[in-house]
Amino acid sequence: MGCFHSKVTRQHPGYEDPVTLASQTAFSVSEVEALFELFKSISSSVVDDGLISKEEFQLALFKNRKKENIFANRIFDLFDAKKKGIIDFGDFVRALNVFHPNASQEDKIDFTFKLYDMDGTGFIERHEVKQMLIALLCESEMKLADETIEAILDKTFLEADINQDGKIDISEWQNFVSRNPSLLKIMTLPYLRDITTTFPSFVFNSEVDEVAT
Amino acid sequence: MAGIKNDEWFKQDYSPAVPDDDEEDTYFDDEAFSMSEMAYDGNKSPESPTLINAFQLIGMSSYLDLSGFFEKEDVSERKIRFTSNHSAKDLVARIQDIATEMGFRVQMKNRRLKATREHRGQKCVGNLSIAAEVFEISPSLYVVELRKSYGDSTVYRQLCTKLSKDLGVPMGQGQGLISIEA
Repeated sequence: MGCFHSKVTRQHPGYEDPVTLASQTAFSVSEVEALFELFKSISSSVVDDGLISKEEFQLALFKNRKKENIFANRIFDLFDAKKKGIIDFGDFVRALNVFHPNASQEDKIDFTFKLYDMDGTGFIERHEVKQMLIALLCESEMKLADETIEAILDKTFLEADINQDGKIDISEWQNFVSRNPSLLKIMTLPYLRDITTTFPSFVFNSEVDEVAT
Repeated sequence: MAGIKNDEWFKQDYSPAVPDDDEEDTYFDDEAFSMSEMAYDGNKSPESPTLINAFQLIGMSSYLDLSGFFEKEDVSERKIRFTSNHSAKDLVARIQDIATEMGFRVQMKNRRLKATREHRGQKCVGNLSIAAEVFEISPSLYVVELRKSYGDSTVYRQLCTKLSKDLGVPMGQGQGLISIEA
């Protein structure tokens, strides 16, 4: 079994020990191994180098949609925690961990805040929200008059921007989300609960005694 | 068991247990609802929809949906959204009618509509479960989000086509993607 482990690390530079990753996340060791199967298929789709590039990331998520998109870019950036322009296996597992149904609300709230704070100023500014709204409308081929867009923004900021300074800080965001919990809907992937059944091939590769997990 | 289920006595007032998409409902806090929100009752008229905020709209983006990691089909085969000038009440009623016509069992829950079609209580070809929600942008403008919970893609497409024909909204969500310069 030791032979398998070193073979894997040779092929996958970003590979991290599943036991370590399991201890840092809500995933069990088996689940981390199952995620590795997923990671392998994504990271080898364009260049088989054991790392997920932006192109491979978009291909996996959006199939034939390869166009640049502000949301896709932002999500990739948040997965790319080390800011190297690629996602290794550890990054992948730690990022997906936040989407686990059992991950903390706090982590999910933090993630969404960073997601929407496009320019990373520490505030979600009105112009950023407008930009994201317009992107959504384009994507959906929905047309709204500018005054309607402004009205939606007005209403949103009236509710979220408590000190009315034109931007939403992290504590205002936490407050807003607690009043509108459906905003965290995007932060949970129920699929992660069944990951070991979706990607069962790990069973034959596992170096960990099932009883121990 | 099948014999009992087919008997008229059993069928009366019977709604099969719908596997609840709990992940979505966890985030609906009943206490937060205003007084005008009505409790679940399939026979009552639909509740008034929520006045949408920017982040609810933004959250509908397919680019924020990571289910693509786990699904082979394109996200447009699982989710659509469209605007309509029809009143919320009208929209919900029509979706309910169309779904019922196509053999779905329809449930109103919170501010959502769930429609399920199952043959003999088993998941097989032709089965489909969807959830739809209506949001208000303004008194004359509403947005509907419809999502497939599980089931047959062909039936899903049939349902969406029927809805678009009847509610008069264009299909082809996410076809003409335009990139936004950052």
